[in-house]
Amino acid sequence: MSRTTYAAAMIALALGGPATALAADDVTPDRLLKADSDPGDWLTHHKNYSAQRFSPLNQVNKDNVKNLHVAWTLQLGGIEGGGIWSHGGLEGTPIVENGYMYVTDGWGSVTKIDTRGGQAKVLWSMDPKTDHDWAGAVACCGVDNRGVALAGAMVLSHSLDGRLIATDKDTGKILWQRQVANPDKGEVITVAPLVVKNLVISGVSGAEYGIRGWIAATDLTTQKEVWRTYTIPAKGEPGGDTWKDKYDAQAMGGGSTWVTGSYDPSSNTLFWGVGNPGPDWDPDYRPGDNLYTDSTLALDLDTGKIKWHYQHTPNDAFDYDSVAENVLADAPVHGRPMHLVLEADRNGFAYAVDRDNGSFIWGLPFVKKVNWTKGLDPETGKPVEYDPKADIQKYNAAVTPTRENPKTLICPGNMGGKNWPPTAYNPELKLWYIPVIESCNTVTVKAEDPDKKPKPRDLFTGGGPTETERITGSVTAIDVTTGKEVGKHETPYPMLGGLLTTPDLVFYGQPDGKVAALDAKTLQELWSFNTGGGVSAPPMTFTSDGKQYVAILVGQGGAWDKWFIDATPELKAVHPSSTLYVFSLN
Amino acid sequence: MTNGFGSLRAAVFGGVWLCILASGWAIAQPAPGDEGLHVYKSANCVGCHKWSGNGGGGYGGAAANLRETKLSLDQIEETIRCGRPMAGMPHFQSDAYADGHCYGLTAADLADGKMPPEPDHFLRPGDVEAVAEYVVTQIKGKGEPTFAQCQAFFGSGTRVCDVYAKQNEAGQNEAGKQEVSASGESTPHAHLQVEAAPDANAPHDTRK
Repeated sequence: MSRTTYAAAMIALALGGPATALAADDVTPDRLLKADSDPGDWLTHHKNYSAQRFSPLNQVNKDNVKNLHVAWTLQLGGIEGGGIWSHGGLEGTPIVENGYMYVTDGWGSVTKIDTRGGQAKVLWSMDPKTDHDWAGAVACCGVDNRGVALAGAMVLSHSLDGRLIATDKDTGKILWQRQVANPDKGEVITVAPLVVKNLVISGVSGAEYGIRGWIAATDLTTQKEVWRTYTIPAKGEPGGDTWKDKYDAQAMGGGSTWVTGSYDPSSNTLFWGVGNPGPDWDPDYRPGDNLYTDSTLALDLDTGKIKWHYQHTPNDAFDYDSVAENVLADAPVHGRPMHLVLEADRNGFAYAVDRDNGSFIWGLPFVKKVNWTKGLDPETGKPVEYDPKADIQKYNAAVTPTRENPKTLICPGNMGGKNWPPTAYNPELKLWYIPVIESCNTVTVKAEDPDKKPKPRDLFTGGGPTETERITGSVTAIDVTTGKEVGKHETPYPMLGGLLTTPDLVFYGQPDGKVAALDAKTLQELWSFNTGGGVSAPPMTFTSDGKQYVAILVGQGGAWDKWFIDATPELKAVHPSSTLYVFSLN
Repeated sequence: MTNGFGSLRAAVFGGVWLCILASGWAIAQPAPGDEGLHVYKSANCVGCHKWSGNGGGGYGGAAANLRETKLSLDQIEETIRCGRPMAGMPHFQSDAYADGHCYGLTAADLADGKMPPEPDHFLRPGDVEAVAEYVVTQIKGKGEPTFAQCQAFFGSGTRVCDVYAKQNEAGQNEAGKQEVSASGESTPHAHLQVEAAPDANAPHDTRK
């Protein structure tokens, strides 16, 4: 009996039901490990533990995608505001198992939908009764939730107010819940959980509110937390000396973890991205490299111990976090077989790192304009101006925000060359597709005073951005065997939703409502449809009754309409919405 | 540029930007006399100035601190109607810049992005008066936000005020706990606390 089986049995006992054998559709650790073996399912957030978001389904292909049309839609909830937010939005990836779909809205309600028979039948909806005001006042960047995870007969989800919730897959009743993050400290949760073995992994948001970030693992049987890895080392821990101030800046050092990571079973390693340091735009406040902000972390799954790290932007002054997913790919690089970690960073560079030891393999800019550095050192991958002895990194000093240079135009802008929206990797073509924000914006530094620390739940950013330039987007393709860009499909709006790839197609959604399919080799547009709402969620695909569907959540989420709209004035006309769109042929 | 215009500009952090998403915020109907509070919520003043009026620095630069404001009732009304040119404060009167009655400026003077943003919906004159009155009587000059003020704003169905209960003095703290406890009964998760595992990367692992 697996531990998950055991957990399910214990739950059945606790509920007074018979501890019978598992139902055939229970999501065992083994099924999650082999998530690709049933191509019609989408069992885990990024499709598989490698975070590739590649589906081998090919009923919809480049020859017939022009016939794709709406099969059905479903109105969801969660559009109401709370805290400083006037509305919620949709950023989730639907999970599908055996024709049943699980989606979340921005406030964390989970809805189970029977997709069989070519229509949507809502089976249940679990409303976590999220404390809107408590959470919404400290959600830096919108009322968002990125989806669920399946484990045994449970659906795991997070709520913005910091809970991990296990819901009965059949009844929709909450089985148990625990508080993982503390909004009293400015912590909230938007990330979709990741289930590996008998653990469920949570991450946290809040680096704009002076948190000390972490990744936490909860045991599905005991419902207790088994490890918590802080992304900002304490004094005395390895990396703790990369915070060189005298006033304990690392206690409020940031380092959020709000994008679901990836997992390599061969080494039992969890890969997770870490966000920006705080205060975001006042690097003078926090001299040193500020580990492990702006880094990829490789963790031992069982203990949370850090095996290695790779930092992209030491002493970041730009809000160039590295919270993005790390894609695991096995591919030859210049003819030599490699185990790669791929990460498209907010700083505008795409990186391939050896996932066995964290050493740099290749890196290249994937945006049209980078002005904060001349480029990456070909040996280390660090920005060429990086000085390991310097307290404050100047990079291109004319551009880098500092107290000496308090107003400056940075490219990429602070939303980054790519934000959280996930990339997609086609292992057959060895092409990696990046959803790009082609941007610059202006940053104004406002020095924080160590003698006047912010109160809990106060913003702690050391300045702020303004939108002075038009922002556009692209889908950019990189050949991972060479580390070279091989295509760029430009879009009039930034990519705020993420990508899906199939053997010969790439799908994306745009914040003006357009959903489109590109030829995976040429990036030529082959199909599009306007959903009439803002898209800020990634597309996914599945089969039901043997037929392929493409699904995407539509409902302007995130912070764009509050903080960045001046860079895309036409998008002021997009209204909040909350709809699931599902497409098919015929 | 007039002097008045210049001082306005100086009064706010240079990088201020939009906070205009006034909304249909779902809030219980106000009691009679609470019109100003209702407008404060429904016009999404909270989005930038926060419930407390502290406004404050941050992601988009600072919204004015209404607790520390020196503006008179009339000046606050004017600011609500006219917004702040070159800054994030919207003009809640639709024709604010039609004839020069706001700061002597018209739309033509405010080309090239100097025009204050439009809110999602404009306010009627009575609503402007009510919310200005609310700011002057309930927020201006009130010092640090308290648990009681927070609960008056939000009611007791949320943990948003807990942080003030912890900050307030002992007597208030006890009262606060009771209130929180009473509210907790309506939401089963209101008392959940974080039980974190030890730091996985601490140099001396004391677990086992």
